[in-house]
Amino acid sequence: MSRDIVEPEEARIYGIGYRSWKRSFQPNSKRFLFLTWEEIKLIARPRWPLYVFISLRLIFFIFEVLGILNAPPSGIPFEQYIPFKQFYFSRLINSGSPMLGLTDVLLVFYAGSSVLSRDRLSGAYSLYFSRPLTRLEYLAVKFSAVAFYVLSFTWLPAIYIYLALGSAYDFKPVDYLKWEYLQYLVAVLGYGLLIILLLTSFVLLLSSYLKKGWYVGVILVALPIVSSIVYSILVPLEVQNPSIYVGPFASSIYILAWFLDIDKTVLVENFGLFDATLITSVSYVGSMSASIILALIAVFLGVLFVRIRSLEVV
Amino acid sequence: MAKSPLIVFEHVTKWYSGNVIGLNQCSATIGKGITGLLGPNGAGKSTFLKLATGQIYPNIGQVSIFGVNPFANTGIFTKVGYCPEQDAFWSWMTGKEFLVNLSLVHGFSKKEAKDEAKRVLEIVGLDDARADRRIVTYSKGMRQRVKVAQAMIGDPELLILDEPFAGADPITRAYLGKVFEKLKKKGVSILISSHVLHEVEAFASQIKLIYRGRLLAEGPVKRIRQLIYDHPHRIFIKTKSPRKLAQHLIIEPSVSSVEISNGGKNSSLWVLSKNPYEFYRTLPKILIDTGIPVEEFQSVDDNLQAVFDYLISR
Ligand SMILES: Nc1ncnc2c1ncn2[C@@H]1O[C@H](COP(=O)(O)OP(=O)(O)OP(=O)(O)O)[C@@H](O)[C@H]1O
Ligand SMILES: [Mg+2]
Repeated sequence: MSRDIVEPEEARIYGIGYRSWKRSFQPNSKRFLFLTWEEIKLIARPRWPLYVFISLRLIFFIFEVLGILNAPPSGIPFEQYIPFKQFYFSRLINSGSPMLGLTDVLLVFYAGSSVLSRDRLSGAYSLYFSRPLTRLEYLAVKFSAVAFYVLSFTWLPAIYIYLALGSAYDFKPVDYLKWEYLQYLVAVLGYGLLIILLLTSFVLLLSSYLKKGWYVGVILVALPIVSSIVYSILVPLEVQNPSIYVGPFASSIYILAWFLDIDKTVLVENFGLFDATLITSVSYVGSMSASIILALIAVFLGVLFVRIRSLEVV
Repeated sequence: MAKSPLIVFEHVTKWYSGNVIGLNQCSATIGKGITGLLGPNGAGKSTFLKLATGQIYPNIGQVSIFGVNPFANTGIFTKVGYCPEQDAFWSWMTGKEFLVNLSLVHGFSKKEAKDEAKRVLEIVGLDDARADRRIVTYSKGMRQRVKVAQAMIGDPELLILDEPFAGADPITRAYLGKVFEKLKKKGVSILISSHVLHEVEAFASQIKLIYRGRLLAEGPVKRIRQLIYDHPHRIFIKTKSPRKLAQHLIIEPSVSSVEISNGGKNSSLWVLSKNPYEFYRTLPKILIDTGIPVEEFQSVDDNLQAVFDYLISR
């Protein structure tokens, strides 16, 4: 019997070596931006859901913009036809963005559901948590990556519609920047931010508990269904302000209306939102719901942080 | 032993879910130099190392590394490098990209991260051709090298390596062994786990034996080697004529007992030798003199498990 004898290579260590290495680290903020960007690239890595989502949105918006541009009936100037903010509101509702529409829920789910579980399954927790990087920083990176990714899909359409509306109203370039109109864009972006922060913190919290990404999806799809069922029970009972009881899913429209300062009668008469007869006032329901959402965000983020801080890499 | 210990465990107990005990009232001190953490499967080596690097926290007792509690205290990782037992990679990256990214997580700027990756790649002996391939295509040995390399990012004073030789080819083993020896000369301390003594005895100065979650023995490598090689060995011999061979063996002074397990064709002998060194010397002589053919021969006590069973039964 013969056996190959393997001669081990000689280890070489060059003069670049140990002890003399000078460390100069970059500022934490720079590292934060870099890591967030890396994470966003990871989220967007399986390309096809991204393309499907973008093309759905694009098709939608082509119709949307065509609709806006063709809307003025029989040559009546826009200013006489419908106030700008109302038109903006109606278009946002129509396009489902940045409303808490199913598309956004799906996008947040797609972006956020595996952000933490991916690291858990691939063992990458140990790669992060054996570096001079705090767990709060880790969480901040994950959170910002998902929020930023989803926000880009929510904000861009809102800006896009704003621009299209402006052209329908025959804005001069300077009009776009007039606070008179710009305030509505700011309101809509703020609304989008509120909703996305809520969804992101919720999804990250779920994904820190649940083993499989699609469990998160099931919960996300079930929640609006359950709340709309509860809502449809409350409405015939003529409960005052029913949407407050079923949480963000039914009340977000009032937040947007509140932000854009659209009152109850307009909602009922111009938008056929007959449930609005049950509310005390748009500002009441809107502010209540916004506060509830802010409180939920704080709770979700708090729990998430405690969880990550005490997380064990087993 | 060093005066200032690097790692101190005080009565540390760790349970996993399902009441599995990982470490049981374990007290230990790890000093400078190279320490081998030895134990059979499930002894608690990985638990020990995860506790030392703050990947998990103890249920009872205290762990400190460089004088601080490592759990969630990620600042220590400017001085400590950790190589986990499990594969933890972003395997879609090349080896080089992986190390550059981890250097960035570590806090290096883009340019310095590249230099740092290059430096650690050179130390573990991965040339450019291999470092530029995707990690998914890597052999086990190359993976182990990359894993060790990532622990060396940031030039730590202490390397904590969980079975870096596991599954690696002989060349990688020899190479990494040489690397560790050279690091030791440069003043780097290493805590390395293994379940076979010969993997670490060449370069470790101290050995800790752990078994069933407890520290069973510790001391300089020479003493531990004696413990392991000087205890009775059980030897398995497969032969066509077990009775005849047994008659010859039982009269040998190095043999304590012979047991025949008779299964027709699969006849075999279990020999217990209280002086294995002597026995291994005389056995070939007996076989030649008597002309008894032996089909199989192995010492089951080569594995640590048996040694530990022996040690705790004393
Ligand atoms: N995540 C876990 N959940 C439950 N039990 C665990 C877990 N990790 C380890 N254990 C148990 O804890 C004990 C010690 O395990 P540990 O992994 O520390 O041993 P080890 O010495 O590293 O073994 P090996 O040589 O197999 O790596 C074993 O009984 C093991 O089954
Ligand atoms: Mg282990």
